[in-house]
Amino acid sequence: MVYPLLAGASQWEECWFAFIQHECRLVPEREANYGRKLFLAIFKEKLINLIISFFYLEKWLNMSQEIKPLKKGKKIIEPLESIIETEKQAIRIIEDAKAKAKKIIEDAKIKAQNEYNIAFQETIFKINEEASLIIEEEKRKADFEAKKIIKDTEDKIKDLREKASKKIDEAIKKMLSIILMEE
Amino acid sequence: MTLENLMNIIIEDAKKEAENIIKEANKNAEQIIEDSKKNAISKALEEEKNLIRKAKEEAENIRNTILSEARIKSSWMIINEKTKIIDEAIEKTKEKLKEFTKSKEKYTEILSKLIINAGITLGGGELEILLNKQDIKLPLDIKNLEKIIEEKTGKKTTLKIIDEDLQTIGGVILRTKDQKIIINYTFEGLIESHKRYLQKEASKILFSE
Repeated sequence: MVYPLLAGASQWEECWFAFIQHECRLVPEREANYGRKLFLAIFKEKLINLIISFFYLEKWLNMSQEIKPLKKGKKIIEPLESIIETEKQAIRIIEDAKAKAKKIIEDAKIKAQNEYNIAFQETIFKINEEASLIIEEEKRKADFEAKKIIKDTEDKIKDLREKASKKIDEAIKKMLSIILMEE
Repeated sequence: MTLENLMNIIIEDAKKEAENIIKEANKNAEQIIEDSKKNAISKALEEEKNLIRKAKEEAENIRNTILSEARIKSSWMIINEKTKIIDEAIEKTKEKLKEFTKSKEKYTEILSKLIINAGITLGGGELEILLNKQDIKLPLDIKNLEKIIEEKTGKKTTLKIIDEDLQTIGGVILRTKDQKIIINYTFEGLIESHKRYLQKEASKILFSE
């Protein structure tokens, strides 16, 4: 967006605003003749009139150069103020937007930290669940093996008792001989 | 173009720019949140390896504990069973001894042997014999026993049966007259004093392959 008369405006653009100013205030009369015609031509929005308007504009431009700089400055000061005011308003809108954007980013950072914590905790929770499953699975396997050990032992004991029962008479005989001092 | 139009354009442009700024900020905010989530997951996944390793170690420890307990329990079950079998064998031996006391001749012979051994251990002298009610009635050759003990110890020996109703399945208690030294050769006493040896010998026989 170019803001004429504020920064680096071309001569043509400067004159355009001077013209508007001129048409609004209608001073001095010499300029008014050209300026009014140009103004009307533009607002009729006809191409031919527009071309004519350029013609008048050129003449007006030549003529306006005769106006003293101080006078010219006075003529354009009021619309300039409006534009500057508008510009200020525009800057405020943008500054507000920037502040709002800053707030959005700051809020986002806070939210991001919260989201980080939640996502981290959730992921860790899932990993812990996986870890728990590993432990549970190993425990289940170990319990199964332990039961097998006990079952095998029970079978071993049955076998032990069976074998011992066949030899019990021999053992009693031996103990009797010890008790009765036959050895 | 009028001044009002121009001002409107300026404001409209500013609004558009503001809108773009907000839009961009919202986009950036979304990106920040999204990146943060991704970072969190990435960081958590870095932890994953460590957590899983620890879980595996813990699982291994639990497994070892469970299996060790099972093995210890298994060993105790076998030891308990062996002890039970040996105790049963000793109980049966007692029953055999009780039966043995009914075979008068053989039992008298054994009883005499026990008295001689006890007398020799006490070194002869004036000794008292304690028997249960049934054994008092047995035909013990006291004179002969005194003589054998005298011969073995070289000390004059007298044996006197004391009627004290000894509570035993069989065997004898011998003591000096002053009751300072007592030899317990009752079957229960003998089993008790030889218990370890009996268990060991019985175990050798019962549990040898």
